[in-house]
Amino acid sequence: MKRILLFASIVGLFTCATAFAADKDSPEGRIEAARAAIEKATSNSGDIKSAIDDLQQANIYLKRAREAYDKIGFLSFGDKKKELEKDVAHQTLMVDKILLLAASHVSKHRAEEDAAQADRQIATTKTRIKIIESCRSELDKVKGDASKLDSIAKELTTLKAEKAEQLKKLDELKAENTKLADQVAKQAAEIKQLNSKLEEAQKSVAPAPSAAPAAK
Amino acid sequence: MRRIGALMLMLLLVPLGTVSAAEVSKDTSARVNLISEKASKMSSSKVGEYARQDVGAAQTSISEAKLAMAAGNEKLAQQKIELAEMQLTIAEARTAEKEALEQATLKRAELKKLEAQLDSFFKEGGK
Repeated sequence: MKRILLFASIVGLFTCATAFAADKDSPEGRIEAARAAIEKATSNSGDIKSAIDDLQQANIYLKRAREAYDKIGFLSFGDKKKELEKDVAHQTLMVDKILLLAASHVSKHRAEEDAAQADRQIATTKTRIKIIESCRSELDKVKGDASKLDSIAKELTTLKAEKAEQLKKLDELKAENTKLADQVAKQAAEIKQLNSKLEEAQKSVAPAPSAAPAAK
Repeated sequence: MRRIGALMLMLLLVPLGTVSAAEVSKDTSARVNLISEKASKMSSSKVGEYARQDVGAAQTSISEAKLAMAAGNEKLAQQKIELAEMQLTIAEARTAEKEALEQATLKRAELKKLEAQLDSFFKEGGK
């Protein structure tokens, strides 16, 4: 009994698996797969116009597949049935292809958006770099001016030192000059004194004015 | 009785064979020539480079369309042409997609370079 049950289970599972595998390739299986694929693609496409157009086209192909499938009735058999099944297969294949097209359009759109976003970021970054470069250039200029000021300040210090030295020399010269002037004044006073003494001496040594004509 | 039956069957099959071997319409013939030319041009362009597989698949479909035409199967020929047209459209779309992706990659690389430059400025500070 157990063996029979086991055998029946295996047969049952095998039958189910075969039925499931066959279902995928059957017209209704293809239509269902196409419908589910369109649904999935619709949720992934967002509001991208080209993809929406593709999905509309995919729905047209799905409709054609359904129409072909609907014609497979009880009365269609043999070549006619095969022909209709081929129609369904072709229309669902076209659905698959147009979904590939839609996916490509979505990918392209996202890449373009990505490029546009990168472009905006590039513009912002370039502006920042330009500002920083401008600041750096200004800073370099200021640094250059500062180094010039340093050398000017050094030159000024040197000149001040020179000036102080010259002033010192001038003071010394002035003092010497004063000293010499004093000496000159003293010597002038001495000369004057000597002159007056000389005059006095000459007066004392000189003969009486009346004796001179008698000697002649 | 059997002979009569066989004769009847043959009489039925002969017209069917004549129909299947009938020539396809000029429109289908023109379409296949047009799509064939387009595929040939595309295979030697950048589309052939970027979407080689899609163009190859379209060329296979065109060959199948030609075989269907030769067999007088207009419907199959038209389906194969429709498929080839779609495959070429996909090839064009994939080319545009790859170009857009390349462009985005280039832009991202440029941005990365600029950001690195900006970072180095910040790291250097006022130096």
